Amino acid sequence: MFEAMAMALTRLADPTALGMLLLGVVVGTTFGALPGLGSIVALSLALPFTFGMDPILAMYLFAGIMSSVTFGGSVPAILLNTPGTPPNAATCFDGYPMAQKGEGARAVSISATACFVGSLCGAIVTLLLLPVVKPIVFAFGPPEFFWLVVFGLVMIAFASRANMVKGLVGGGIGVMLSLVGYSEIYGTFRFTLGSDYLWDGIPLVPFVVGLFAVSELISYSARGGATVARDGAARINWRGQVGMGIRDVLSRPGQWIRASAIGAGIGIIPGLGGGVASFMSYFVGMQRTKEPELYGKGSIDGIIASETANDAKEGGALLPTVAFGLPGSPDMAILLGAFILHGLEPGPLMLRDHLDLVYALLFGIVFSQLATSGLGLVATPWLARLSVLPSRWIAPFVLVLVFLGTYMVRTNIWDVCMAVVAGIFGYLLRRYGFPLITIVIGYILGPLAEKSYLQSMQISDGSLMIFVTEPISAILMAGTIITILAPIIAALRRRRPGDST
Amino acid sequence: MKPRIGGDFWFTAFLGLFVVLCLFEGRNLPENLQLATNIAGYTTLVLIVLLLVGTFKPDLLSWTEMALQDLWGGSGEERRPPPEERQGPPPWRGILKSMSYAVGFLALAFAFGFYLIPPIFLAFYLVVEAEARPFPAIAWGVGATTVLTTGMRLANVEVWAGAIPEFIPGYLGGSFIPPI
Repeated sequence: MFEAMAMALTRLADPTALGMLLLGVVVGTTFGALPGLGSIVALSLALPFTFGMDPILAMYLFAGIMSSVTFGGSVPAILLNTPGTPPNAATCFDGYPMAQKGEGARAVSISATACFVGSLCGAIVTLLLLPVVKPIVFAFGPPEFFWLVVFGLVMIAFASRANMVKGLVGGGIGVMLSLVGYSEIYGTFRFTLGSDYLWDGIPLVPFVVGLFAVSELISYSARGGATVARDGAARINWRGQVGMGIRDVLSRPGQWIRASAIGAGIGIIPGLGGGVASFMSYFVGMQRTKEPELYGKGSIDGIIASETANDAKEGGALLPTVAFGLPGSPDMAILLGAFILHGLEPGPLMLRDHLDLVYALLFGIVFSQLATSGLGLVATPWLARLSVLPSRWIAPFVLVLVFLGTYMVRTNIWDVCMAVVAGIFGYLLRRYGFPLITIVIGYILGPLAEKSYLQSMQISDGSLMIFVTEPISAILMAGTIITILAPIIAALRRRRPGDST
Repeated sequence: MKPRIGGDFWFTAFLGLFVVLCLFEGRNLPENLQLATNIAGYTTLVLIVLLLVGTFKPDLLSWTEMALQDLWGGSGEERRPPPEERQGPPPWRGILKSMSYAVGFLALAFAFGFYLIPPIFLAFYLVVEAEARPFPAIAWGVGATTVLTTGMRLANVEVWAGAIPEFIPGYLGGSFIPPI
């Protein structure tokens, strides 16, 4: 373990690795600051460019992007009431009122410091839990994995909170799309429509890039104009407030420790995203604060609560992603794709054979967050100016990046066509309210569930008892069933006697 | 009130058709491979039918949605749509124009490759849509393409030169079209 840690830390001293981290920070902060283009778009864009790269360098690039996007998104959220990424919406509640009072730089400084603190706490939680998780992970066979993946699929319901029916439909469609291709176990083609291209299934990179990046670009460029008003940014005076913001965070350890615990805890649960972490932390913070009346009017505690949890979530979400192959957050679903692209299999083998990569990712997140926060404290005026660039200046460059990036993975021009088709499909899904993230969860977890089910059946000679007789498997099954039934029982208890509705 | 059958209805119906076709095709698969198709397919189909029926019986859909939200949606997170969602989706005209740019760029890049089309596309888009002056737009287009294609060549990636017959070896035309 310590050897792997040392190797990951040693690699950080390598100028190429540092360069990758900083590149990730620049890309992540930029995409975070541009409303609509969040971490998923940034990660899916970077994904094909890492093909053929040393995996550890690719991990540093991803770490740089993942840790910097949320801070980037907080800048327009605070200064212009426009969240760069959905989880930053909670930051708008108090960040924007502070900016309106002429304390924008202080709020950005609070965000930068809170992001670093949250990231550090999230990484510490993962570091502490990794050794504990490892022996359990090694006890996992196909039946145990089956229940874990089923648990992840159940999380589709939680991931589609805002639009439950359509979210569940999206999850189902994702699973159906994942079934396309050749089944190695049975030597049969499924839903390939006679196409050679679909023998390997719908390829991950073009599908994800199209679904998120191209669909967002279609919407983003069609909206036209500047993403935020130029006159809004012109009023801001930053100087002198940076130190105040740092002191605000450091003098409130209770706030950021609680927010970090909430963020890391939510990150560990597969399928839940940063939105849940930041909002839940915000609401818990509101209940616990001595000054609840300040919430929504420029509360320092409010910004700390949302931004700390938002970044602590990354470390927590890494744990189920690397240990079980279950994405702890939407960005981790893309990261899972990156692991597969680099020939790495998340799960027990990853912890045994590539522990250095896991640590590289963790340390990368902390170091790049340090760089991001430093960058944020120094360069906020330039970031804000980026947010006021017209979308029509940005969209064509991103589209060219998407095309070349998608092509690079397999040098197959049909992959670019697939990305465009997936983009148009993704836009329609988006427009009609089907959450894209549930489709990706279904698309990634569907084949894993089927594979572990079929392997279990082969091990047990076709007996379903294998799913209940193994102790860990039985515990996981019970956990999954409780997760499904507990809210139903709770709802039935809440219902008053004689209430007909 | 007369139910409004819009794009939402037809798109949901299209998804339903896709699921039905998968279920129909899945009947020819080995029994164990049918399992995933059937579980995901029939569950999704029921929900799609619910969405379609909800167009005519909105109360049924909202009741189901509320019941599901009540059960699994209680995360404490308030639904606060992003600003663009609050403004409503962009008009179809703009969307179709954006899609046309993407599809047009794809078609031209397919035919003429990544050396020729990206700088033309970038310059054209910047001049027409962003109202940039021609010279800086061309400079940006050529510069960005040079950086990207050089990066690809440094990474030993063969840049797509286009499906047209070879015109300038390695740069324009003559690329091998993979089987589809």
